[in-house]
Amino acid sequence: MSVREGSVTGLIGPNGSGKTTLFNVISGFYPPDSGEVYFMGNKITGLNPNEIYNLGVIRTFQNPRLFPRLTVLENLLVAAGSRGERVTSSIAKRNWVDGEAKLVKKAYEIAKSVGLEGVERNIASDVSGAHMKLIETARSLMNSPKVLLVDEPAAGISYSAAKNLFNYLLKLKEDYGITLFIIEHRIDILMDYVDYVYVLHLGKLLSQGTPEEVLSDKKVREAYIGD
Amino acid sequence: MDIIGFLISWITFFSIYSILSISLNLEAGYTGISNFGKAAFYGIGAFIAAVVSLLVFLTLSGLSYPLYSLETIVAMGTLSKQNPVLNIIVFLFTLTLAFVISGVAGYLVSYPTLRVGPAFLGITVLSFGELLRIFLRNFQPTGGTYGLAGIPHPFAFVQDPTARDLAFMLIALTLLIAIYLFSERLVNSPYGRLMKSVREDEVASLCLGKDVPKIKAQVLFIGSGMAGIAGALLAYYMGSINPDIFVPSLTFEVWAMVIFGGSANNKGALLGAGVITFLNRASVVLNFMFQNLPVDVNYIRWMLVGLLIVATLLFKPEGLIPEDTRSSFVWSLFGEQKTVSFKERTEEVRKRVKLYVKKLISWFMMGGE
Repeated sequence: MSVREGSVTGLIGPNGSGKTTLFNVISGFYPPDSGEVYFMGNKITGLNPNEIYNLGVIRTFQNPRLFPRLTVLENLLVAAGSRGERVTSSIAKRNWVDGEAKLVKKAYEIAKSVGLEGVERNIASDVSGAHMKLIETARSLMNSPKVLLVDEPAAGISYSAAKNLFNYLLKLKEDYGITLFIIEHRIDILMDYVDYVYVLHLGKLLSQGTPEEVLSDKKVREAYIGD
Repeated sequence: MDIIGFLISWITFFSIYSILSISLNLEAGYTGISNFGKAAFYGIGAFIAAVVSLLVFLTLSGLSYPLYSLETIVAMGTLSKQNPVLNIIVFLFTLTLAFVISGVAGYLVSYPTLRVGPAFLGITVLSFGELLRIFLRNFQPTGGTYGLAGIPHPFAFVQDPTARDLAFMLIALTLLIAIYLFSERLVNSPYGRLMKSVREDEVASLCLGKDVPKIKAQVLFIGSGMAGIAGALLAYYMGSINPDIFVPSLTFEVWAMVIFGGSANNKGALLGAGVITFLNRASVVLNFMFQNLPVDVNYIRWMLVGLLIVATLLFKPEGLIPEDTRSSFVWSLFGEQKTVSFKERTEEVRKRVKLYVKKLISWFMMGGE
Protein backbone atom coordinates (compact mmCIF):
# COMPACT_ATOMS: atom_id res chain seq x y z
CA MET A 1 0.00 0.00 0.00
CA SER A 2 1.24 3.47 -0.67
CA VAL A 3 -0.05 6.95 0.01
CA ARG A 4 0.93 9.47 -2.64
CA GLU A 5 2.31 12.75 -1.42
CA GLY A 6 -0.24 15.53 -1.54
CA SER A 7 -3.17 13.18 -1.89
CA VAL A 8 -6.18 12.51 0.29
CA THR A 9 -6.26 8.76 0.71
CA GLY A 10 -9.03 6.90 2.48
CA LEU A 11 -8.89 3.70 4.47
CA ILE A 12 -12.17 1.92 4.95
CA GLY A 13 -13.36 -1.49 5.99
CA PRO A 14 -15.80 -3.15 8.36
CA ASN A 15 -15.22 -3.05 12.10
CA GLY A 16 -12.29 -5.13 13.18
CA SER A 17 -10.65 -5.15 9.79
CA GLY A 18 -7.44 -3.69 11.14
CA LYS A 19 -7.56 -0.04 10.14
CA THR A 20 -6.52 1.42 13.47
CA THR A 21 -3.99 -1.37 13.85
CA LEU A 22 -2.44 -0.29 10.56
CA PHE A 23 -2.20 3.26 11.86
CA ASN A 24 -0.61 1.90 15.04
CA VAL A 25 1.99 0.08 13.00
CA ILE A 26 2.75 3.08 10.82
CA SER A 27 3.09 5.42 13.79
CA GLY A 28 5.38 3.05 15.62
CA PHE A 29 3.16 1.66 18.32
CA TYR A 30 3.12 -1.90 17.20
CA PRO A 31 6.08 -3.53 15.53
CA PRO A 32 4.91 -5.33 12.41
CA ASP A 33 5.14 -9.10 12.27
CA SER A 34 6.55 -8.74 8.80
CA GLY A 35 7.00 -6.08 6.19
CA GLU A 36 8.37 -2.55 6.35
CA VAL A 37 7.08 0.99 6.54
CA TYR A 38 8.75 3.69 4.46
CA PHE A 39 8.30 7.42 4.65
CA MET A 40 9.70 9.61 1.90
CA GLY A 41 12.06 6.86 0.91
CA ASN A 42 13.35 6.18 4.41
CA LYS A 43 12.57 3.10 6.43
CA ILE A 44 10.73 3.99 9.60
CA THR A 45 9.78 0.53 10.83
CA GLY A 46 10.90 0.00 14.38
CA LEU A 47 11.32 3.65 15.27
CA ASN A 48 9.74 4.91 18.47
CA PRO A 49 6.42 6.76 18.21
CA ASN A 50 7.99 10.02 19.28
CA GLU A 51 10.70 9.74 16.63
CA ILE A 52 8.12 9.11 13.93
CA TYR A 53 6.16 12.11 15.18
CA ASN A 54 9.17 14.31 14.77
CA LEU A 55 9.62 13.15 11.20
CA GLY A 56 6.24 14.65 10.41
CA VAL A 57 3.99 11.61 10.49
CA ILE A 58 1.27 12.56 12.94
CA ARG A 59 -1.75 10.56 14.00
CA THR A 60 -4.89 11.51 15.79
CA PHE A 61 -6.95 9.25 17.99
CA GLN A 62 -10.52 8.19 17.50
CA ASN A 63 -11.28 8.88 21.15
CA PRO A 64 -9.48 12.09 21.91
CA ARG A 65 -6.58 11.53 24.26
CA LEU A 66 -6.19 14.88 25.87
CA PHE A 67 -4.32 15.86 29.01
CA PRO A 68 -7.27 16.26 31.37
CA ARG A 69 -5.80 18.56 33.96
CA LEU A 70 -4.01 20.89 31.58
CA THR A 71 -5.71 23.81 29.91
CA VAL A 72 -6.66 23.63 26.25
CA LEU A 73 -3.84 25.98 25.41
CA GLU A 74 -1.33 23.85 27.28
CA ASN A 75 -2.61 20.80 25.45
CA LEU A 76 -1.83 22.56 22.20
CA LEU A 77 1.54 23.81 23.39
CA VAL A 78 2.72 20.36 24.41
CA ALA A 79 2.14 19.19 20.86
CA ALA A 80 4.66 21.64 19.51
CA GLY A 81 8.29 21.28 20.46
CA SER A 82 9.94 23.96 22.51
CA ARG A 83 13.47 24.78 23.52
CA GLY A 84 12.31 25.05 27.09
CA GLU A 85 11.52 21.37 27.07
CA ARG A 86 15.06 20.45 27.96
CA VAL A 87 15.98 20.33 31.59
CA THR A 88 19.03 22.51 31.29
CA SER A 89 17.46 25.27 29.25
CA SER A 90 14.21 25.33 31.15
CA ILE A 91 15.73 26.87 34.24
CA ALA A 92 16.62 30.18 32.65
CA LYS A 93 13.51 31.83 31.30
CA ARG A 94 15.26 33.84 28.66
CA ASN A 95 16.06 30.65 26.80
CA TRP A 96 12.51 29.91 25.93
CA VAL A 97 10.37 33.00 26.45
CA ASP A 98 10.53 34.20 22.87
CA GLY A 99 9.88 30.76 21.47
CA GLU A 100 6.91 30.42 23.81
CA ALA A 101 5.44 33.70 22.62
CA LYS A 102 5.55 32.50 19.02
CA LEU A 103 4.08 29.14 19.96
CA VAL A 104 1.23 30.72 21.87
CA LYS A 105 0.40 32.87 18.87
CA LYS A 106 0.51 29.84 16.61
CA ALA A 107 -1.70 27.92 19.01
CA TYR A 108 -4.27 30.68 19.06
CA GLU A 109 -4.29 30.87 15.26
CA ILE A 110 -4.71 27.16 14.84
CA ALA A 111 -7.39 27.04 17.52
CA LYS A 112 -9.26 29.78 15.77
CA SER A 113 -9.04 28.13 12.37
CA VAL A 114 -10.36 24.88 13.78
CA GLY A 115 -13.24 26.64 15.51
CA LEU A 116 -11.96 26.49 19.06
CA GLU A 117 -12.01 30.16 19.87
CA GLY A 118 -12.69 31.20 23.42
CA VAL A 119 -11.99 27.98 25.24
CA GLU A 120 -8.23 28.12 25.34
CA ARG A 121 -8.14 28.93 29.02
CA ASN A 122 -10.47 26.12 30.04
CA ILE A 123 -9.27 22.93 31.59
CA ALA A 124 -9.35 20.29 28.90
CA SER A 125 -11.58 17.93 30.85
CA ASP A 126 -14.20 20.67 31.17
CA VAL A 127 -14.92 21.24 27.50
CA SER A 128 -17.63 19.61 25.43
CA GLY A 129 -17.13 16.42 23.46
CA ALA A 130 -17.21 18.23 20.14
CA HIS A 131 -14.56 20.63 21.37
CA MET A 132 -12.44 17.72 22.47
CA LYS A 133 -12.41 16.37 18.95
CA LEU A 134 -11.43 19.80 17.68
CA ILE A 135 -8.62 20.01 20.20
CA GLU A 136 -7.38 16.63 19.04
CA THR A 137 -7.34 17.90 15.47
CA ALA A 138 -5.76 21.22 16.39
CA ARG A 139 -3.05 19.44 18.35
CA SER A 140 -2.05 17.41 15.35
CA LEU A 141 -1.38 20.60 13.42
CA MET A 142 0.90 22.23 15.91
CA ASN A 143 4.10 20.59 14.75
CA SER A 144 3.93 21.25 11.00
CA PRO A 145 2.90 17.76 9.93
CA LYS A 146 3.75 16.30 6.55
CA VAL A 147 1.31 13.43 6.80
CA LEU A 148 -1.76 13.29 8.97
CA LEU A 149 -3.12 9.89 9.91
CA VAL A 150 -6.64 10.86 10.85
CA ASP A 151 -8.61 8.18 12.68
CA GLU A 152 -12.36 8.59 12.19
CA PRO A 153 -12.57 12.36 12.32
CA ALA A 154 -16.31 12.41 11.80
CA ALA A 155 -17.19 9.90 14.49
CA GLY A 156 -19.99 11.09 16.71
CA ILE A 157 -20.55 14.49 15.14
CA SER A 158 -23.44 15.74 13.00
CA TYR A 159 -23.48 15.48 9.22
CA SER A 160 -22.99 19.20 8.67
CA ALA A 161 -20.24 19.41 11.28
CA ALA A 162 -18.56 16.45 9.60
CA LYS A 163 -18.75 18.15 6.22
CA ASN A 164 -17.28 21.29 7.75
CA LEU A 165 -14.48 19.27 9.24
CA PHE A 166 -13.67 17.57 5.96
CA ASN A 167 -13.77 20.89 4.12
CA TYR A 168 -11.36 22.17 6.72
CA LEU A 169 -9.05 19.20 6.31
CA LEU A 170 -9.01 19.76 2.57
CA LYS A 171 -8.19 23.41 3.09
CA LEU A 172 -5.32 22.36 5.32
CA LYS A 173 -4.01 20.15 2.60
CA GLU A 174 -4.07 23.03 0.13
CA ASP A 175 -2.62 25.63 2.50
CA TYR A 176 0.08 23.57 4.19
CA GLY A 177 0.70 20.83 1.68
CA ILE A 178 -0.22 18.08 4.12
CA THR A 179 -0.93 14.58 2.90
CA LEU A 180 -4.02 13.04 4.44
CA PHE A 181 -4.60 9.39 5.19
CA ILE A 182 -8.07 9.08 6.66
CA ILE A 183 -9.90 6.22 8.34
CA GLU A 184 -13.60 6.82 8.19
CA HIS A 185 -16.75 4.81 8.60
CA ARG A 186 -19.05 7.37 7.09
CA ILE A 187 -18.40 6.46 3.53
CA ASP A 188 -21.08 8.83 2.30
CA ILE A 189 -19.03 11.78 3.47
CA LEU A 190 -15.59 10.35 2.84
CA MET A 191 -16.02 9.50 -0.81
CA ASP A 192 -16.58 13.13 -1.76
CA TYR A 193 -13.16 14.09 -0.56
CA VAL A 194 -10.70 11.30 -1.30
CA ASP A 195 -8.56 10.71 -4.37
CA TYR A 196 -7.86 7.07 -3.66
CA VAL A 197 -9.26 4.44 -1.31
CA TYR A 198 -7.93 1.27 0.29
CA VAL A 199 -10.34 -1.30 1.68
CA LEU A 200 -9.31 -3.62 4.48
CA HIS A 201 -11.17 -6.74 5.54
CA LEU A 202 -10.11 -9.16 8.26
CA GLY A 203 -6.63 -7.74 8.27
CA LYS A 204 -6.02 -8.06 4.57
CA LEU A 205 -6.25 -5.65 1.68
CA LEU A 206 -9.53 -6.35 -0.03
CA SER A 207 -9.71 -3.71 -2.70
CA GLN A 208 -8.27 -0.39 -3.77
CA GLY A 209 -8.92 2.29 -6.30
CA THR A 210 -10.74 5.54 -6.89
CA PRO A 211 -13.94 6.04 -4.90
CA GLU A 212 -16.09 5.05 -7.86
CA GLU A 213 -14.16 1.86 -8.52
CA VAL A 214 -14.27 0.80 -4.88
CA LEU A 215 -17.95 1.56 -4.42
CA SER A 216 -18.87 -0.54 -7.40
CA ASP A 217 -16.61 -3.42 -6.37
CA LYS A 218 -18.72 -6.43 -5.48
CA LYS A 219 -16.20 -7.75 -2.94
CA VAL A 220 -16.48 -4.53 -0.96
CA ARG A 221 -20.26 -4.71 -0.89
CA GLU A 222 -20.09 -8.30 0.31
CA ALA A 223 -17.68 -7.44 3.09
CA TYR A 224 -19.81 -4.61 4.41
CA ILE A 225 -23.24 -6.00 3.96
CA GLY A 226 -22.40 -9.69 4.00
CA ASP A 227 -24.21 -10.73 0.85
CA MET B 1 11.93 22.37 77.85
CA ASP B 2 14.45 23.92 75.56
CA ILE B 3 12.31 25.83 73.08
CA ILE B 4 15.23 27.14 71.06
CA GLY B 5 16.70 23.70 70.79
CA PHE B 6 13.36 22.25 69.72
CA LEU B 7 12.89 24.94 67.11
CA ILE B 8 16.36 24.51 65.70
CA SER B 9 15.99 20.76 65.47
CA TRP B 10 12.54 21.08 63.96
CA ILE B 11 13.64 23.55 61.29
CA THR B 12 16.69 21.45 60.45
CA PHE B 13 14.60 18.32 60.05
CA PHE B 14 12.02 20.38 58.21
CA SER B 15 14.67 21.46 55.72
CA ILE B 16 15.95 17.93 55.20
CA TYR B 17 12.50 16.44 54.84
CA SER B 18 11.31 19.28 52.63
CA ILE B 19 14.06 18.48 50.19
CA LEU B 20 12.78 14.90 50.20
CA SER B 21 9.16 15.90 49.75
CA ILE B 22 9.96 18.36 46.97
CA SER B 23 11.91 15.65 45.20
CA LEU B 24 9.03 13.21 45.53
CA ASN B 25 6.63 15.89 44.39
CA LEU B 26 8.62 16.38 41.22
CA GLU B 27 8.52 12.66 40.54
CA ALA B 28 5.03 11.70 41.68
CA GLY B 29 3.09 14.94 41.80
CA TYR B 30 4.23 16.39 38.50
CA THR B 31 5.41 13.44 36.45
CA GLY B 32 3.21 10.70 37.85
CA ILE B 33 6.06 8.37 38.75
CA SER B 34 5.19 6.17 41.72
CA ASN B 35 8.51 6.19 43.50
CA PHE B 36 8.25 3.92 46.53
CA GLY B 37 11.95 3.89 47.15
CA LYS B 38 12.79 7.38 48.38
CA ALA B 39 14.40 5.97 51.50
CA ALA B 40 16.90 4.05 49.40
CA PHE B 41 18.37 7.13 47.73
CA TYR B 42 18.16 9.07 50.99
CA GLY B 43 20.24 6.28 52.52
CA ILE B 44 22.73 6.16 49.66
CA GLY B 45 23.38 9.88 50.08
CA ALA B 46 23.86 9.47 53.81
CA PHE B 47 26.26 6.56 53.50
CA ILE B 48 28.27 8.24 50.77
CA ALA B 49 28.67 11.29 52.97
CA ALA B 50 29.66 9.19 55.95
CA VAL B 51 32.06 6.85 54.17
CA VAL B 52 33.81 9.50 52.09
CA SER B 53 34.18 12.02 54.89
CA LEU B 54 35.57 9.44 57.29
CA LEU B 55 37.91 8.07 54.63
CA VAL B 56 39.24 11.48 53.76
CA PHE B 57 39.88 12.48 57.33
CA LEU B 58 41.53 9.20 58.26
CA THR B 59 43.65 8.98 55.13
CA LEU B 60 44.85 12.54 55.43
CA SER B 61 46.03 11.80 58.93
CA GLY B 62 47.71 8.62 57.83
CA LEU B 63 45.39 6.43 59.86
CA SER B 64 43.90 3.26 58.49
CA TYR B 65 41.41 2.09 61.03
CA PRO B 66 38.29 0.39 59.71
CA LEU B 67 35.59 2.99 59.32
CA TYR B 68 33.24 1.36 61.78
CA SER B 69 35.74 0.80 64.56
CA LEU B 70 35.90 2.51 67.92
CA GLU B 71 39.35 3.83 67.08
CA THR B 72 37.87 5.75 64.19
CA ILE B 73 35.24 7.33 66.37
CA VAL B 74 37.79 8.35 68.94
CA ALA B 75 40.21 9.67 66.33
CA MET B 76 37.47 11.63 64.59
CA GLY B 77 36.69 13.26 67.89
CA THR B 78 39.93 15.21 67.69
CA LEU B 79 40.46 15.24 63.93
CA SER B 80 37.17 16.94 63.22
CA LYS B 81 38.08 19.92 65.31
CA GLN B 82 41.54 20.54 63.96
CA ASN B 83 41.01 22.03 60.56
CA PRO B 84 37.79 23.95 59.96
CA VAL B 85 38.56 24.45 56.30
CA LEU B 86 38.92 20.73 55.76
CA ASN B 87 35.56 20.11 57.41
CA ILE B 88 33.83 22.53 55.11
CA ILE B 89 35.56 21.32 51.98
CA VAL B 90 34.74 17.72 52.76
CA PHE B 91 31.17 18.71 53.57
CA LEU B 92 30.66 20.45 50.25
CA PHE B 93 32.46 17.76 48.31
CA THR B 94 30.44 14.92 49.81
CA LEU B 95 27.19 16.81 49.25
CA THR B 96 27.94 17.05 45.55
CA LEU B 97 29.08 13.45 45.43
CA ALA B 98 25.92 12.33 47.20
CA PHE B 99 23.82 14.16 44.64
CA VAL B 100 25.60 12.60 41.70
CA ILE B 101 25.77 9.05 43.02
CA SER B 102 22.21 8.97 44.29
CA GLY B 103 21.03 10.47 41.05
CA VAL B 104 22.86 7.90 38.97
CA ALA B 105 21.56 5.14 41.23
CA GLY B 106 18.02 6.41 40.77
CA TYR B 107 18.46 6.40 37.03
CA LEU B 108 20.05 2.97 36.87
CA VAL B 109 17.56 1.24 39.15
CA SER B 110 14.60 2.57 37.27
CA TYR B 111 16.06 2.06 33.81
CA PRO B 112 14.59 -1.41 33.23
CA THR B 113 11.13 -0.23 34.18
CA LEU B 114 10.89 3.02 32.27
CA ARG B 115 8.98 1.55 29.39
CA VAL B 116 6.48 -0.43 31.41
CA GLY B 117 3.69 0.47 33.78
CA PRO B 118 4.10 2.57 36.91
CA ALA B 119 3.53 -0.25 39.35
CA PHE B 120 6.70 -1.94 38.20
CA LEU B 121 8.83 1.05 38.99
CA GLY B 122 7.37 1.46 42.45
CA ILE B 123 7.95 -2.12 43.46
CA THR B 124 11.37 -2.26 41.85
CA VAL B 125 12.77 0.70 43.76
CA LEU B 126 11.08 -0.45 46.94
CA SER B 127 12.72 -3.85 46.65
CA PHE B 128 16.01 -2.26 45.74
CA GLY B 129 15.87 -0.15 48.86
CA GLU B 130 15.14 -3.09 51.09
CA LEU B 131 17.82 -5.23 49.47
CA LEU B 132 20.32 -2.45 49.94
CA ARG B 133 19.37 -2.01 53.56
CA ILE B 134 19.65 -5.72 54.30
CA PHE B 135 22.97 -5.83 52.48
CA LEU B 136 24.32 -2.93 54.50
CA ARG B 137 23.12 -4.50 57.71
CA ASN B 138 25.42 -7.39 56.98
CA PHE B 139 28.28 -5.48 55.39
CA GLN B 140 30.96 -5.14 58.01
CA PRO B 141 33.09 -2.42 56.40
CA THR B 142 30.24 0.08 56.79
CA GLY B 143 29.49 -1.05 60.28
CA GLY B 144 26.76 -3.62 59.72
CA THR B 145 23.75 -2.92 61.86
CA TYR B 146 25.66 -0.39 63.95
CA GLY B 147 26.49 1.75 60.99
CA LEU B 148 29.06 4.51 61.08
CA ALA B 149 29.70 7.22 63.63
CA GLY B 150 32.04 10.12 64.19
CA ILE B 151 30.98 11.83 61.00
CA PRO B 152 32.73 15.20 61.01
CA HIS B 153 30.23 18.00 61.52
CA PRO B 154 31.08 20.90 59.18
CA PHE B 155 31.07 23.27 62.14
CA ALA B 156 32.72 20.96 64.64
CA PHE B 157 35.20 23.71 65.51
CA VAL B 158 32.41 25.81 67.00
CA GLN B 159 32.38 25.28 70.74
CA ASP B 160 28.79 26.16 71.62
CA PRO B 161 26.48 23.30 70.56
CA THR B 162 23.51 25.60 70.04
CA ALA B 163 25.49 27.90 67.80
CA ARG B 164 26.78 24.90 65.89
CA ASP B 165 23.28 23.55 65.36
CA LEU B 166 22.03 26.98 64.41
CA ALA B 167 24.73 27.36 61.77
CA PHE B 168 23.91 23.93 60.37
CA MET B 169 20.23 24.78 60.33
CA LEU B 170 20.99 27.86 58.25
CA ILE B 171 23.00 25.80 55.78
CA ALA B 172 20.18 23.28 55.49
CA LEU B 173 17.65 26.07 55.01
CA THR B 174 19.80 27.64 52.31
CA LEU B 175 19.99 24.36 50.45
CA LEU B 176 16.25 23.98 50.80
CA ILE B 177 15.67 27.43 49.36
CA ALA B 178 17.99 26.72 46.45
CA ILE B 179 16.26 23.42 45.73
CA TYR B 180 12.83 25.01 46.09
CA LEU B 181 13.69 27.78 43.65
CA PHE B 182 15.17 25.30 41.20
CA SER B 183 12.04 23.15 41.36
CA GLU B 184 9.74 26.12 40.94
CA ARG B 185 11.66 27.22 37.86
CA LEU B 186 11.62 23.73 36.47
CA VAL B 187 7.90 23.20 36.81
CA ASN B 188 6.93 26.67 35.63
CA SER B 189 8.59 26.16 32.30
CA PRO B 190 7.83 24.12 29.19
CA TYR B 191 9.64 21.24 30.87
CA GLY B 192 7.10 21.35 33.67
CA ARG B 193 4.35 21.14 31.10
CA LEU B 194 6.16 18.14 29.69
CA MET B 195 6.25 16.45 33.09
CA LYS B 196 2.55 17.00 33.58
CA SER B 197 1.77 15.63 30.13
CA VAL B 198 3.57 12.42 31.07
CA ARG B 199 1.51 12.26 34.24
CA GLU B 200 -1.78 12.90 32.48
CA ASP B 201 -1.40 10.47 29.60
CA GLU B 202 1.89 8.78 28.84
CA VAL B 203 0.69 7.33 25.55
CA ALA B 204 -0.63 10.63 24.26
CA SER B 205 2.59 12.31 25.26
CA LEU B 206 4.58 9.69 23.38
CA CYS B 207 2.34 10.20 20.39
CA LEU B 208 3.05 13.90 20.50
CA GLY B 209 6.72 13.32 20.03
CA LYS B 210 7.90 13.32 23.63
CA ASP B 211 10.56 10.83 24.66
CA VAL B 212 8.66 9.67 27.72
CA PRO B 213 11.21 7.16 29.05
CA LYS B 214 13.93 9.82 28.84
CA ILE B 215 11.79 12.35 30.68
CA LYS B 216 11.08 9.86 33.43
CA ALA B 217 14.75 9.02 33.68
CA GLN B 218 15.70 12.68 33.93
CA VAL B 219 13.15 13.39 36.63
CA LEU B 220 14.22 10.33 38.58
CA PHE B 221 17.84 11.40 38.36
CA ILE B 222 17.02 14.84 39.72
CA GLY B 223 14.69 13.50 42.40
CA SER B 224 17.07 10.82 43.59
CA GLY B 225 19.94 13.27 43.55
CA MET B 226 17.98 15.63 45.77
CA ALA B 227 17.22 12.77 48.12
CA GLY B 228 20.95 12.08 48.22
CA ILE B 229 21.62 15.65 49.30
CA ALA B 230 19.04 15.27 52.05
CA GLY B 231 20.69 12.06 53.16
CA ALA B 232 24.11 13.68 53.32
CA LEU B 233 22.65 16.50 55.42
CA LEU B 234 21.14 13.95 57.76
CA ALA B 235 24.44 12.15 58.17
CA TYR B 236 26.27 15.32 59.13
CA TYR B 237 23.51 16.51 61.42
CA MET B 238 23.20 13.29 63.38
CA GLY B 239 26.88 12.44 63.29
CA SER B 240 26.07 8.78 62.96
CA ILE B 241 23.88 6.68 60.70
CA ASN B 242 22.81 3.08 60.42
CA PRO B 243 20.94 1.18 57.71
CA ASP B 244 17.77 0.75 59.72
CA ILE B 245 16.93 4.41 59.48
CA PHE B 246 16.16 3.99 55.78
CA VAL B 247 13.11 1.81 55.96
CA PRO B 248 10.01 1.87 53.73
CA SER B 249 7.99 3.62 56.43
CA LEU B 250 10.25 6.59 55.89
CA THR B 251 9.32 6.55 52.21
CA PHE B 252 5.68 6.49 53.16
CA GLU B 253 6.17 9.37 55.54
CA VAL B 254 7.44 11.40 52.60
CA TRP B 255 4.48 10.24 50.56
CA ALA B 256 2.20 11.41 53.36
CA MET B 257 3.83 14.82 53.17
CA VAL B 258 3.19 15.07 49.46
CA ILE B 259 -0.35 13.73 49.62
CA PHE B 260 -1.35 15.78 52.64
CA GLY B 261 0.40 19.01 51.72
CA GLY B 262 -0.71 18.94 48.12
CA SER B 263 0.73 17.11 45.16
CA ALA B 264 2.03 18.97 42.14
CA ASN B 265 2.61 21.97 44.31
CA ASN B 266 5.96 22.83 45.84
CA LYS B 267 4.38 24.95 48.56
CA GLY B 268 2.22 21.97 49.43
CA ALA B 269 5.31 19.80 49.73
CA LEU B 270 6.74 22.30 52.21
CA LEU B 271 3.52 22.40 54.19
CA GLY B 272 3.32 18.64 54.38
CA ALA B 273 6.94 18.43 55.46
CA GLY B 274 6.38 21.10 58.09
CA VAL B 275 3.40 19.40 59.65
CA ILE B 276 4.84 15.92 59.70
CA THR B 277 8.28 16.91 60.95
CA PHE B 278 6.55 18.86 63.67
CA LEU B 279 4.69 15.72 64.70
CA ASN B 280 8.01 13.89 64.55
CA ARG B 281 9.88 16.26 66.79
CA ALA B 282 6.93 16.74 69.11
CA SER B 283 6.67 13.03 69.70
CA VAL B 284 10.40 12.84 70.51
CA VAL B 285 9.92 15.58 73.08
CA LEU B 286 6.74 14.02 74.45
CA ASN B 287 8.41 10.66 74.74
CA PHE B 288 11.15 12.28 76.72
CA MET B 289 8.79 14.22 78.96
CA PHE B 290 6.29 11.48 79.70
CA GLN B 291 8.36 8.43 80.35
CA ASN B 292 5.61 6.41 81.94
CA LEU B 293 3.06 6.30 79.15
CA PRO B 294 1.69 2.84 78.38
CA VAL B 295 2.22 3.46 74.68
CA ASP B 296 5.31 4.71 72.91
CA VAL B 297 4.37 8.07 71.44
CA ASN B 298 6.03 7.05 68.19
CA TYR B 299 3.34 4.48 67.54
CA ILE B 300 0.66 7.08 68.06
CA ARG B 301 2.53 9.25 65.58
CA TRP B 302 2.50 6.46 62.99
CA MET B 303 -1.22 6.10 63.45
CA LEU B 304 -1.67 9.84 63.07
CA VAL B 305 0.32 9.86 59.83
CA GLY B 306 -1.75 6.99 58.48
CA LEU B 307 -4.94 8.72 59.48
CA LEU B 308 -3.73 11.88 57.81
CA ILE B 309 -3.18 10.06 54.51
CA VAL B 310 -6.56 8.38 54.60
CA ALA B 311 -8.42 11.52 55.64
CA THR B 312 -6.75 13.54 52.89
CA LEU B 313 -7.57 10.99 50.24
CA LEU B 314 -11.17 10.86 51.41
CA PHE B 315 -11.92 14.52 51.82
CA LYS B 316 -9.42 16.47 49.77
CA PRO B 317 -7.52 14.16 47.44
CA GLU B 318 -5.50 16.93 45.85
CA GLY B 319 -4.03 17.79 49.22
CA LEU B 320 -4.24 20.91 51.32
CA ILE B 321 -2.73 23.21 48.68
CA PRO B 322 -3.95 21.83 45.37
CA GLU B 323 -2.26 22.10 42.03
CA ASP B 324 -2.51 25.48 40.40
CA THR B 325 -4.09 24.62 37.07
CA ARG B 326 -5.59 27.92 36.09
CA SER B 327 -2.81 30.43 36.34
CA SER B 328 -0.43 28.82 33.91
CA PHE B 329 2.89 30.59 33.74
CA VAL B 330 2.09 31.31 30.13
CA TRP B 331 -0.36 34.03 31.09
CA SER B 332 1.98 35.80 33.43
CA LEU B 333 4.58 35.85 30.69
CA PHE B 334 2.56 37.73 28.18
CA GLY B 335 0.54 40.11 30.23
CA GLU B 336 -2.56 39.48 28.19
CA GLN B 337 -5.36 37.72 29.99
CA LYS B 338 -3.73 37.87 33.38
CA THR B 339 -5.11 35.67 36.11
CA VAL B 340 -8.62 36.50 37.29
CA SER B 341 -9.12 39.84 38.98
CA PHE B 342 -9.36 40.17 42.73
CA LYS B 343 -13.10 40.70 42.60
CA GLU B 344 -13.62 37.61 40.51
CA ARG B 345 -11.46 35.63 42.87
CA THR B 346 -13.35 36.71 46.00
CA GLU B 347 -16.59 35.85 44.24
CA GLU B 348 -15.18 32.45 43.42
CA VAL B 349 -14.08 31.92 47.02
CA ARG B 350 -17.48 32.98 48.34
CA LYS B 351 -19.21 30.56 45.99
CA ARG B 352 -16.90 27.76 47.03
CA VAL B 353 -17.38 28.38 50.73
CA LYS B 354 -21.16 28.35 50.27
CA LEU B 355 -20.98 25.08 48.38
CA TYR B 356 -18.74 23.59 51.03
CA VAL B 357 -21.02 24.64 53.88
CA LYS B 358 -23.97 23.19 52.02
CA LYS B 359 -22.07 19.95 51.60
CA LEU B 360 -21.23 19.87 55.30
CA ILE B 361 -24.82 20.51 56.31
CA SER B 362 -26.19 17.84 54.04
CA TRP B 363 -23.50 15.49 55.34
CA PHE B 364 -24.74 16.16 58.85
CA MET B 365 -28.36 15.70 57.90
CA MET B 366 -27.67 12.34 56.36
CA GLY B 367 -26.45 11.21 59.72
CA GLY B 368 -22.84 11.56 58.79
CA GLU B 369 -22.93 9.42 55.67
